[in-house]
Amino acid sequence: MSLDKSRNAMPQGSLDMLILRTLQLGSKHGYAIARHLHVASESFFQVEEGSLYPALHRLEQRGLVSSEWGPSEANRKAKYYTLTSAGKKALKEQTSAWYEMQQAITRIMNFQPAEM
Amino acid sequence: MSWSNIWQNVLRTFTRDDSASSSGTVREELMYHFRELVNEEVARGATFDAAWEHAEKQFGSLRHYENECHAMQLQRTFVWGLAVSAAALLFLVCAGWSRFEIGRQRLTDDLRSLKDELGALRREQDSLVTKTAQSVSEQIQPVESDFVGLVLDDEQQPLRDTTVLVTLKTWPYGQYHSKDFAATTDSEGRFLLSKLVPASGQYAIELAVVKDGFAFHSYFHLKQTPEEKLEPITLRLEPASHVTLVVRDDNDVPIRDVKVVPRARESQNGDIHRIDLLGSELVGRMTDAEGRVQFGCFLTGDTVEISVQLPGGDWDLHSFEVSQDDFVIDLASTAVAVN
Repeated sequence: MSLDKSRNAMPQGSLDMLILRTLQLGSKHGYAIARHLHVASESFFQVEEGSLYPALHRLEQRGLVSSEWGPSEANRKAKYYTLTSAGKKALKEQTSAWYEMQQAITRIMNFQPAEM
Repeated sequence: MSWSNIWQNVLRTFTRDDSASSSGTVREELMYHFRELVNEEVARGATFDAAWEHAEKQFGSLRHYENECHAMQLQRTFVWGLAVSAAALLFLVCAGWSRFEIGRQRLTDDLRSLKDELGALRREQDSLVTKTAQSVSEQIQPVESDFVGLVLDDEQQPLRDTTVLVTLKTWPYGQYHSKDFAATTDSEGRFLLSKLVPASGQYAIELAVVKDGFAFHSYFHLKQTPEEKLEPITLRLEPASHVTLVVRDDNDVPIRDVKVVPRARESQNGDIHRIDLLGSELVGRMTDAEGRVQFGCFLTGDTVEISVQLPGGDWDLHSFEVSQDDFVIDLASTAVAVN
């Protein structure tokens, strides 16, 4: 598959869903979340990694994730985020909405006008 | 008590945060990430300055994102303050800006301190590198290792002539690379991909095992720590159910030469197995004159994804559950039925 890297901005509003999905796999600190998004997307998205933090703090304020300080892999202090039950519910809803939107877009792209 | 102290106390009351995202901790959290990016580049052999520059590019502005986090905190405080009183709100906003300026100054000081600290570390590293240049030179010679595995059936018997498709993903110097490999199991069900596993650096291996008559199986391994070794793997394939799909048009007339390609299956226990384009070609089928196509790569109870391409048309994605009962999917112009 050929990809145009200049167009690899993340679709608006999808970052929260991708963070929640990443945390569904287990608690992670921000750096680990960034690495996961990088690896799982096969380096597709070109986003500044700092943009994760406003999103993480927003999700925490909404009660969708909780946080706790703990030792990192290198035994340094890092802040770990965990998906809450409200976050799991929100992820389910967002995933469902995303699939519906994806299908709607596919239908529009495949639409053929009736022949006269 | 001075007015300044009163302001500070009120500010602490309103911005106290049980989730530990106050000014200092936000900065500490961002700095942890930034340090890891710098260390990552230094470990790859970049100079300190190059590593620092790369981290700034990859992370973005520390100050900007810290301000965003603070602004979010202030916004919450603002709403809370409204509920208390208009006077408290005015008090809070003024104090918030004061705290914001203090935090910004502290961030600047911390960044300067970190740069000094890392500069000293760089000088120490340079000294060590000079002393041990010869031994390091010998150690960095990459020595790849083999990737081996065993494929068994549900009765623990080896499965020979099974196709094993492997995609190796690496990120040398931050650039993504992928390479595809294929192997076939021998009479003892073993497969070997010689010198596949890189000696150093992060990598991921995606593997799909495909054999007609058995449900396809995929496996993913991501190396996350330098000490991690890729151990030999054992995969067990289960005999597949026979699934027949019938493709008809709006007038219920069967359509031939429709390409139907399995893409993924989710088993009843939630395991998801995917096959890429190369794997899909191996298990893909065309409908016959009766619009029928048979598959032997799914299990009863699986929720499967398939791609369907009408002759000369585009690909459509379908999903359904494989069950004993008849199952029908209605599309805008085509019906796909499972018998």
